[in-house]
Parts: sequence; C-alpha cells; structure tokens
Amino acid sequence: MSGPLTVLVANPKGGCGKTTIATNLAAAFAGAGLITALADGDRQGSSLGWLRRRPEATPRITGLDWGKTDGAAPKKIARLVIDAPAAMRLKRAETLIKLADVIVLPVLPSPYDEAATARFLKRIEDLKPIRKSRTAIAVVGNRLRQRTRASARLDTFLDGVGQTVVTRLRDSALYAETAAKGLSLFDLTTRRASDARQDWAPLLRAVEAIV
Amino acid sequence: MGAKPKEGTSKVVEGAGPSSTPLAAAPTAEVELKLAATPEALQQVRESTLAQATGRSERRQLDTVYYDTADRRLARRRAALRVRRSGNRYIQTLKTEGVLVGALAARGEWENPIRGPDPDLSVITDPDARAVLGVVLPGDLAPVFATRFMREARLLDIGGGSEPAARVELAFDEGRIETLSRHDPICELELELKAGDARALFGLARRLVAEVPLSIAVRSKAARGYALADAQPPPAIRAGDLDIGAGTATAAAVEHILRHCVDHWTANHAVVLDGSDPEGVHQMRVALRRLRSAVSLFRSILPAAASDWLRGEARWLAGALGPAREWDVFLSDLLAPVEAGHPGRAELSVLHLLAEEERIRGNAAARVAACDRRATDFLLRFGAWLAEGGMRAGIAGKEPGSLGRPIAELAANLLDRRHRRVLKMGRGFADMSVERRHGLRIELKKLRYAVDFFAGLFPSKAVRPYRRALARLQDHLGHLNDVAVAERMLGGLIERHAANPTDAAGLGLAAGLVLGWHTRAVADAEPATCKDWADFAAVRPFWTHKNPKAHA
Repeated sequence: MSGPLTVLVANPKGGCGKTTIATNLAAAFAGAGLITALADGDRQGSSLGWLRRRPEATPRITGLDWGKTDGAAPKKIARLVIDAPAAMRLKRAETLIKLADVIVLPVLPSPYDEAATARFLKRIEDLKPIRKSRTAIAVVGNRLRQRTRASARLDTFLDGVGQTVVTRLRDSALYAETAAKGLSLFDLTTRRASDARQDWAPLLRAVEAIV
Repeated sequence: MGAKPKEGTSKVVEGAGPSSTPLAAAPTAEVELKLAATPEALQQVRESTLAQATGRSERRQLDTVYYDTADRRLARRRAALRVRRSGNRYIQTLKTEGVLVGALAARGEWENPIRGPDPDLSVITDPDARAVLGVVLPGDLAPVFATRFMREARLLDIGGGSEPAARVELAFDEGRIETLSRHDPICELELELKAGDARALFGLARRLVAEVPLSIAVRSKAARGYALADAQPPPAIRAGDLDIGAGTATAAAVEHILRHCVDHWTANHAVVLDGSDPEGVHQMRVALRRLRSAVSLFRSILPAAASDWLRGEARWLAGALGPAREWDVFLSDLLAPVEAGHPGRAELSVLHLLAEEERIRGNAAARVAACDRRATDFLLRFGAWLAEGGMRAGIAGKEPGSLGRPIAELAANLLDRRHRRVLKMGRGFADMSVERRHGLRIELKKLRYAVDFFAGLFPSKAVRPYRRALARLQDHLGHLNDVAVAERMLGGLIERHAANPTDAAGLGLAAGLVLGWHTRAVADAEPATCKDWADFAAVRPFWTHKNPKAHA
C-alpha cells in the first residue's frame, strides 16, 4: 500500500450517522497511537466543527477541509478517514472511492434509508475499484436496538442487495453527548462507553484486516 | 519509556518475510548468513579448528513466543512481534521489514522489557511502529508459535596478515519450533560480521562448507514458524520487479540484476525442499536461466573469471533440476490431454505411473542438488564476489569508463543486438528445421530476459506490445520444444524398461499415442506459429523510442 489506509464514510442519505461514524473512527485510530487525519467532504463541515470543539488533551487528529475540492493527505499519515458529502455527483464519488481502501456505509433501519442505500450501491457497483474488489464495502447498521423487528428487517434488506452488516451500533445517548464536546466513545473511560465500544470492534477489525 | 528503534537494520534472520536471502547483503548493510545443518554436521563444525573461539563464547537458552492476530495481520504487514524470556525477565521485540504504511517505509526493531509473558503494546509509542501495529483490540493477539533453542555464540577473529581480517560471531542454534500440535527442528549456523572485512566472513563460510556438509538456509525462524502454524507450504516466488532506473550507473545496475537473479533462486530454495509445489523447481530453473542470460548479456563488461564460474555453476544446478521439471511438464501438459482423449486406456495408465515415478525421482535429485555443497559454495562465492567489489574488481582493460555511465545507454545497444540476432536467425521461419527452431527459441529466451531486465527503463506503453508478441511466439515454440524433449524422454524410459518386454511393448504404444497426438497438434498449429513469428518480426522495438523514461 502506497498511502494511508483510507476509510470513506459515505451514504447519500443525510442524517444516517456519517459524521458520528467518521469522528469515532478517527478517534479510535488516533487513540491507538496512529497518525490520523479526518477529511471533511461536506460543505457544512460538521466533522471539522467537531474537531474544533475537540479538547487539547485528546489524541491529535489532523483536520482536512475537502468541502470544495479533495486535497491530498499530508505525508506520514497512517489512517485517513473521509466524511463524504451527502449528495455526491458520480464523478466526485468515483474520485473519493479511488482513494479509499474501504467504504463504510452507515444504514438506519428505515425504509427511506434502505431505498437510498440500494440506489447508492447500484450506482457505485460498476466503478472500477469496487468491480475489481480493490475497495471493500462495510455496511454498518446504525442506531439499532438489539433484536428488534427493524433490525431483522435490515438483515433481509441487506441480504437482498448482496451485503451483510459488519456491525450494529446501538442507539445510545453517548454519541450525542460526546459529539457536543468534540469527544468520542474512544476518549472516555466510563463503563458505559466501554460497553458501547464493543459494537465497534468488528468494524475496526474489518478495517485493519485490509493491510 | 519509549521503545528504542534501531533504524536501518536489514537483518534477514528473524523477519517474517518469506523471500529474504541470507547472502545478498548490500555492501553497507549488516552482513549475516545462515547455513542449515544436521545435528552431526553442527557437531563437526563445533569441533573444527576453523570454528574455535578466539574471544568470548557463551551458551544461552532462548525461548521466544511469537504473537499475531487470527487473520495474521502482523505477518501480512511483514512484521513480527515476539516475547523472549530471559531468566525471569521478559523482552518484547517488534521487528518490521520495509513495509509501506502511511507512505513511509518503516523498517526497524523496537525492543522493550515488559512485566510478563503477554505482549504489552502500550510500551511502543513510536508512530512508525504504531503504524505497523494499527489498531489492536484487547484479545486480538494470540501466540502463534514458539522457538526454543540453545544458542552457542563464539567470537572469532579471523584472517590478518595478507588475508582480509574480520571479527565474526559464529552462532550454533539447536532446538525446535513449536506450535500446539506440531514441531520442527532448528539446527543451523549463523555467521555475523561484527567488524572488519566481509570477504573474510565469506572465506570462513566457504572453508566450513568445504569441510562439513552444510546447505543454505533461507527462511527465517519466524517464516518457518508461521508456515508450521498455518500448515502452509512455502510459496513459490516469481522474479519480482527490478529496482533500477535509466540513470543507474552500469556497474550498479549489472550487480543489481545478478543479485536479483540469485535472490529469485534462493527465494525458491525452501519450495524445492518442500517438494509439494512443482512451481518451486520451475522458478528456480527460471532464476538460473535468467542468471545465465544476464551473464551472457553483460559478457563484454563482466570480469571474465566471474562470467565463467557464474555460467558454469548455474548451468550445473539448472541441469540437476531438469528431470523434475521435464517430467512435470510431460505429465501436466503432454500426457494429460491424451489421457482425457483416451479414457480407460491401460497403456496410458502405466505410462502415467512410470512418469510419476520419474518425476518423484527428479524431485529427489533436485532436493539433493539444491542442498549440495556445490550449490552452497556457489552462493557463498557470489556473496564474496559482491563483497570484494564485484564489477569494480578485475575490470581493468575492459572499457573501465563505461561502468559509470547510465545503464540506459547500454540497455538500448544490448537489446538492439539481441533483437537483430533473433531476426537474423528467424529468416525463412516457415521452412526451418526443428533444430534451428530450437536455436531460435534459445535466442528468444535470452531476448525475453534482456527485455525483463530493462523494461523498467522505458515507458510501459511502448514495452507492452513488444512483450506480448514475444511471449506469444515463445509459448508456441516452447510447446514445440516440449514435444521434441518428450520424444527423447520417452525413448529413455522405454530403454530403461526394456528388460520387461510386456511393459516395453505397452510403453511403446503409449508413447506413440502421446507423440502422435502432439505431432499432429503441432502441425495444425503451424500456420498460427508462422503468424506469431510474422507478428513479432513486425513489432516495433520499444528502445528506439526517443526519450527513455527519466533520463536522469
């Protein structure tokens, strides 16, 4: 591999938790001692806003403003997380996907989200890096309650589009609480945070398995 | 308490990489080589007058456990994480081998004392090391295998006077590699240059090999441990890309090419010994063929003495590997289609069995040759030759100035010469005898390897059509040759079984079926072969391209 291990967090549907996942992933990498950058592709800049709120004492993450154009990752970066814009033209999606080693696709258990996800998957499946399996896709079920009907529905839906859920992130107030302070689950030492962090292990392993 | 990296080390002894070689150390890098022995041979070395310590000598039991994730993430990142027990202390070592993580080649070694036998990654803070480790979650790491061996290390001062002098550490390692269910013996000798002249180290190794049967040992203990734990035979290795540019000085480029060929050979040593993948013998032969091609390609600038022994030794070893490869090709490419076309033919089954026997015998002979002292000495001599300056030594009188010039200038000339020679030999291709086509095939092979060596100096777009035309023609002529070789092999086989007339008669019939089948196929393919020749003769040489890439 000739650049940082790059994770693209993408879903055309807004509000499915892209920024939550991008910021928590970046914090997980930084917390493991990896030199990490977080690129915000959205003009709203909510990931960059989170970085601005981030306290001094937390593991350092370099912010990159990719709101208008995709920049280059600085040298020596080991992990790059890209928070993709909600509505992307195919051209832009293609550029970002080419950079990525893995696409993390957050999905909410709702029919609207499923339809948008299915369309997005259909649009990108013919792109070269995906077709040639150079870029992996990791679907993450977001804000799920264990063993609910919605959760089972999501499985059926994903099965239908040829994907499986890598992990399910529980619906927890911790995400909102930490985000407001520029923190993540990976910056806390509480029992509650460490329980919720368990949900992230399969995703982190899937990402690390790439190299 | 940050880990202390030892940057820039290029130890090949315990890295996780499968293709490290013990001998081809760059002049400035640490020189260390490793030889495999039987317990008896190791004892002989211990008692040899050549191996008596002139300095300190010590014995230590080394117990080391190697850790990795279930999906072998560290090994795939060419890193090894181990915890070594020393009395009641534990030392953790992370070794990485030039892997590209985050655009930086992290090569190094980080050693820390830790509290207990389990790895503790929190002591490793260097970002380069962390980049290789990535995110390791609690419970991700588990022991993969352990190495337990007694190391006796002797310090020797050798040479002096008119001879090259050096201080060498000679280590005798005896013990085993263990997993939960399997184990594999460790019995090897390591020679490390502590100070002085590398030539002395190679000299000592060559004298030891002359006295005691020792063979090359290519795989690190870590690589062997992983293979044992995952029940994976060592993988056959193809010749990788060369690392020369248009501006590389000729002497350095030629040394790099020769070293690359030798590395390709040794990288397949373990595969040949393992014997389960016939590709190992094939790749080793390709490596030796490439080496001979390189020597012949550069004969105008190589010191004559070096050319002679390189070519002679490579020819000997390739010859010893010949039967294994030939019977393998016979079984898979020639006999298999005939068997499929004549299901249930008893004569073919007998031939299959006997050919299989020949192949097994060939493999055994290949193993013996690969471990022969002559092969070992060949490698050591090559290492010594590089250590004494290789190209730069003994060049006097042979256009000394040309060695410093960029390789790109020479490359175009050499390619041109090879290309013209092929065109000349191929005149009247359609009416050529089998023998002359065989001669042409050999020339094409030499051209092909020259193209391989120099392809990186030219734009790949220009090289591709040429390579493709060349490869297609080679394929066709190669098959033609396989059929001609099969005729000789089958003749020999029938002769060896002449004592049993029933066998011989059946074999004769089977041989007739095989040769008839393929002779007809070759005749059918003749128009296509002629077209391949015409296509090749018409393709535009890529080296006439105006500007070689990055003519620095």
